[in-house]
Amino acid sequence: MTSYDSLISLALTVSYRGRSPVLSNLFLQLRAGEILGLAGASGSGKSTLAAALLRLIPQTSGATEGSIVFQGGDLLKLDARKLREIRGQEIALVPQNAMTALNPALCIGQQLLAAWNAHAASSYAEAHQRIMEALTASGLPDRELLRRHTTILSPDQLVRILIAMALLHNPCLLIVDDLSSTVDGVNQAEIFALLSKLNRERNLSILYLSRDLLSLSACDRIAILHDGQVVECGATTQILHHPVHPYTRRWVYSLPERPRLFPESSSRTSGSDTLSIH
Amino acid sequence: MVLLALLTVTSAASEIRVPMLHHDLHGAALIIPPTPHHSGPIGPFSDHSRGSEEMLLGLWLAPLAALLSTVASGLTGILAGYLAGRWERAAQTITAILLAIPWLLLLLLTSTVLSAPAGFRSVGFILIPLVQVGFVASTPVISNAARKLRDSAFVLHARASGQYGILLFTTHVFPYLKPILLAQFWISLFVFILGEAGLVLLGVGLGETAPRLDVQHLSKFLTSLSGIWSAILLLALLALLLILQLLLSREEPAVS
Repeated sequence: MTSYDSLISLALTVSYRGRSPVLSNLFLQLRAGEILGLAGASGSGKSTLAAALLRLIPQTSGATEGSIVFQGGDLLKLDARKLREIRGQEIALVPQNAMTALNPALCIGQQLLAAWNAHAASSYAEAHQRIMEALTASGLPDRELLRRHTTILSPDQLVRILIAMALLHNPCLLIVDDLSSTVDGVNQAEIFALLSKLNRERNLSILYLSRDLLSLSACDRIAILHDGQVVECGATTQILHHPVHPYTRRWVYSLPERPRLFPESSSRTSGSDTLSIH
Repeated sequence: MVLLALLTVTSAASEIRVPMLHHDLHGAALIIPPTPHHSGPIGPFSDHSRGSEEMLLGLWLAPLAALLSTVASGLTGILAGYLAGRWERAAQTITAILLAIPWLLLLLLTSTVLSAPAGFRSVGFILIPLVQVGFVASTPVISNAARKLRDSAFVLHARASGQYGILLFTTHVFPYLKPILLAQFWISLFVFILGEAGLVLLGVGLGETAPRLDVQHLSKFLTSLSGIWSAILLLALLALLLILQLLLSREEPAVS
């Protein structure tokens, strides 16, 4: 793999004040246009990693060390203004809990407009058009949604609205943080199908974080997060059917049934993916 | 304890310095001719007396003190809670210091040792303790609310989507702080009206020559109007307050 293929490379240590590091020397590389699943148990640091990638861990309570090389530049060395330009525009986040990630006091339209206005100074008509395009792309073409508040929407709709918000500025990397805590299995599979479609159509790179290893079976590659480190990373078939690291093996063998790969996943993962163990 | 002891000693000393028996004072009061009273729409008032209706001496002072304390505690609380770090530590230190100073005892001591303040000096004498009470009570509440909002999932997500600064604050944070600030203002207002009356009872109220819009003046003003006009004025005032409240709690227009 050449450096040109790599969209983002991490070498991270993240610690909160007065505690041992949550992520310790975590190495991970995401290629342009791939879906990388990162599996980790609850509390393993998945959400911390998502926040650290966007430098959202406050300096007053935590420290992020190492490097996050994104499109040739280190995000940890960027000044605040350049970093704000990247947030939402180049790297977008779909947070873990969709029920709390949207402001309950504002209607959906206001929140999408605020997210649009963060990076664009356009007319109201253009903003409205782009918002409707993003909603349609995320499977919610109903314009009545714009008037509604979050409290009357289903978790599935909220996740799709978050995806629409993330798509507003056509980012090249989408971080999706553990949807298994918000939506049930069927909806999760549908949302993953939507993400796969966006990945294909827009060449959108996706870092999909999950505590549910089975939900990652349609990813191109899977990385296993344990004790603050990526202990194993490889093609989905290799991780799910021939795990090497003892922790991964324990996890895979503890699953109720051996995972079946999604049809589209087998075509994705065939080829030159190599298994790496850390 | 030291201040209490000082207060007691000073009071005792004033008794020695001005050896006047209680019944002399009471007797002297009895020979004062009664001041003429008039009846007004919100109660009786007298031309010269310092009767019970004058407990609410400066009706303009309590709203001013409530406004000042709400603005001061709002700014300090928001800075402390939203920006955190050194701002939060500074606000906590200021609040702790202000809370530690026994303002009421200091006022009583000052007015006992020196003389009761008059004119605009008396305005300061009332404003300082009232604003301080409102500030130390409101700042931690507002700071805590601002901190919770800063750490909330939706503000974090808004930051992740590139929103920042004033846009982020006005869209996601201030709408939640506005009702808290309004509540602090209204609570402070009623507490300050009662507090001011209490200060008058203790002899450190608004001075005779200070500008005032008290019950007496309001009553006089309303009496000067005819019955129907005073009713219209009161209703208009009520409508103005209602409209103001509705405007303040109004939501932003939605995208549709």
